[in-house]
Amino acid sequence: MPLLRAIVWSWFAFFFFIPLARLFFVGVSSPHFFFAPDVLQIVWRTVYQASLSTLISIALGIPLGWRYRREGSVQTLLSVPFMVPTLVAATAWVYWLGRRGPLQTFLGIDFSYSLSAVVIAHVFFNAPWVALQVSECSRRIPNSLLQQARSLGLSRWGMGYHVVWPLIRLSLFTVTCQVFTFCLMSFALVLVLGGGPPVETLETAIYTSLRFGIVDFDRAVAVAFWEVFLCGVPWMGILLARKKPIPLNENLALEDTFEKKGRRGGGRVWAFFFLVPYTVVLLQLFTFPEWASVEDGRLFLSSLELSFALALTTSVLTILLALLGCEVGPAWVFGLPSGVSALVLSLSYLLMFGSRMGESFFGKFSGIVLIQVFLFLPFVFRLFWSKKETDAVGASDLKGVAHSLGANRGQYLRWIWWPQWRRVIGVALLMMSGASLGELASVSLFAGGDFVPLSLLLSRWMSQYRFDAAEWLASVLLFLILSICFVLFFINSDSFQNRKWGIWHRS
Amino acid sequence: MTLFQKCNIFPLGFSLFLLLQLGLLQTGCLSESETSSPDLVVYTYDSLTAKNALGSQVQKAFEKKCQCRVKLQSVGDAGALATRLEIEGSQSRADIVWGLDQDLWKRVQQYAWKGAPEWTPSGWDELEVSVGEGFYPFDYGVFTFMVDHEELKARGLKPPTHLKDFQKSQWRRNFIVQDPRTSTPGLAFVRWVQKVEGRHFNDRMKRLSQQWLTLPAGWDTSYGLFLKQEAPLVWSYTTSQAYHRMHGDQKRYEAILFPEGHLVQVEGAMIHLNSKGEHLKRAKEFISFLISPEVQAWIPETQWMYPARKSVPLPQAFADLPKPKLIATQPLERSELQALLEGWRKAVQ
Repeated sequence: MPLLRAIVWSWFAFFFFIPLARLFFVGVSSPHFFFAPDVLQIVWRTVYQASLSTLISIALGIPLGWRYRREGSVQTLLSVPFMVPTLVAATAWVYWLGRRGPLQTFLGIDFSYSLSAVVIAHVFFNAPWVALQVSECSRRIPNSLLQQARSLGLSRWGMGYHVVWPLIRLSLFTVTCQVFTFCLMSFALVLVLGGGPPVETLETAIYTSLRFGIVDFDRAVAVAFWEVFLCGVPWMGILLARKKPIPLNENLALEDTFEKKGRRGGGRVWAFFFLVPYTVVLLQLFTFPEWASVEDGRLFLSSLELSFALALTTSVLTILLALLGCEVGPAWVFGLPSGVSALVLSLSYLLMFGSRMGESFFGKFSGIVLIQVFLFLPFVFRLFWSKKETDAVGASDLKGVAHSLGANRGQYLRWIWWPQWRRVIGVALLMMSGASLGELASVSLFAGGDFVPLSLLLSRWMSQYRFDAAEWLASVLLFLILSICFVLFFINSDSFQNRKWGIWHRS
Repeated sequence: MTLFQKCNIFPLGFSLFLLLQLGLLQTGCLSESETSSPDLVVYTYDSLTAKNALGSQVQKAFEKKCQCRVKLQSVGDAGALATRLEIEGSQSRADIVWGLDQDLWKRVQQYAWKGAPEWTPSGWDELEVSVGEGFYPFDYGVFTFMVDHEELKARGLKPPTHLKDFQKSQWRRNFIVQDPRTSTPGLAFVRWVQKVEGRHFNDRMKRLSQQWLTLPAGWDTSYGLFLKQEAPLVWSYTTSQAYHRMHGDQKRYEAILFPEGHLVQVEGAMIHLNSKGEHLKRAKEFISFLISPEVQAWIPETQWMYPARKSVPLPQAFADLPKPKLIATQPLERSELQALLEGWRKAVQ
């Protein structure tokens, strides 16, 4: 373990700490930039927007997650919005909130290109995620505990405060921090829906500092520092203040305990509600444009292949690293990249490795994968760490039982470890694939020439006046992600697994 | 140790496998993947390197002509091109930097080949535009507002005739301009306002910021929103009209002219100071090729800009474009650009 830990630390050092340190030392020539009035103004606006988005997401997500916590199908639907690439989501929201959109046309409500538009889009992204996390941790609360509380005369509010709250508050705090971080580092949605200053985030401020016009390293570094600080502090707080949670693994299987049949349908309606905005993008799939030529088809297929290769490599590496992190630790190392944006990391790689990274196919591929791995690792790690801690006591018991029954390594992994972990690994694989397919920051810096993933092809076609083609491509991207989503969850569902071995259960 | 106890080694095993893969990645990152180096390395922006784009056509034709190998290195957009040069500094491997405009060129002029004053490419006297020594124009465009007449009619508006019209209430949230910090057209709009309004720039810009619908980061997003009828006007180029005419539009989309005049964007190439020996020889040939009649004739229907060379036959749609009054400007020095953007930022916050 010490050797493994050393290897992990050196990997982090080479690809994370040292490039960032170089960026900071190169960039910071005047410390007063950190407290410059315009920088502080952006910090305040970002925190305000992120707090508002988080509060509304939490307010909607908690009751939804608690109420439908035992419905597997609702949980499946709730995980979908989070996988939608932000570029595609921005396209959808332009339709709904734009000047020609239904909200303005039929209701006369104009939220277009404003802070309201950004907050609405964030809520539709994050409220389902909150609901999913709340339901994940809530369903592990033993029914017997709730029944005992009820039999002792506790009211619903009393039960919530004295029984449920102590068991889920850490997870709730974690998901609040996650959502706050997502909103803080929001990029594509703010860029498209915000309408420009004064609606901007730290991430868009970094972008505008480093792009055309001026290379404002001092300002970019100052803003990046604030972003790392605001994202990193909550994470560190969680990791340092965490206590071992009470093992809640009595109810691993989902139970159908509904008293009223209507509740299941209600859950699905709510979950579908958060998917409705994206249906307009999907409709473009059926409007096959006139532009299509054989050359376009070839280009599309090669971009598709490349995007999938990137997504798969990123997902697998991230998952393996996160699993490794759970074995090796320390946990705070794997949570650190949560405060660093793709733009900042990409810039540090350019400084560190120079043009070499961007020249060869392998260099471009590696660059994009590395950045995406660091981007996604904290979230996957947090997912796995939470799972590991929840199952900690039970897991060693199961290991002991398997050993005593003479199970070998393969059998232990296949029959004990994998059934417990497949769902969360499936969720992580899905999350990372969707996120990678739509990720633009690292792609825009490293891709180019013949190395054209789907997101770059989309932006290229737009710059060539091929807007119809770009819209169609956005719909394809969304369709792919939804397909991955449903296939993975179908495979991971209990009914599929039971059917395979001839045992039927009502699901 | 029992088999089962060896289960605990499994994480070690697959971790080592993982790290081996990562090691391979690292090696891949730091090694040259090409077995032979190209004869010419050209840094350019992304849309030039797309299939069937101007860059790809020029690359093929030049390689055939010079019997050499040209590597077209795409580096994001034009702004990213300049940023890359600044980051690489004297370590850059570029021989040619292709796709800078006059303002970006000012930022990276220090990396231009020092022999430029003593050399002119063939065809230099045939160019319609010039910027400075060491900058070799290949196309140019004229900035203006594109109007959607159908959308204007639906909103009961008539096209604006002066810049000051945009301050009137009827134009509130009815036009789109780009962010000057991330877009060359966006910066051109700010410069245009500065030229026209002079000392009233801050007040006018503040007022305009309350009027525009949105400020997308790039021209492509803004034009996409315009075509979605989010607003009847968008800041673009006069040549956008030519694109629509050549793609079936009769009169719906039109470039409008203002008596205040219009700014021009000149795109060009420069030879990098690191280019030496055979590479320098090829670089000069490439520049001459870029402004040759053959290549210049490709520009209208690939770049949707005017060719820099005079008397290049233009498609009818280009010949029919309105002839605006042009405003001559000097490329901004870095400090001037910073001051301008700082003033803009204060006005729009």
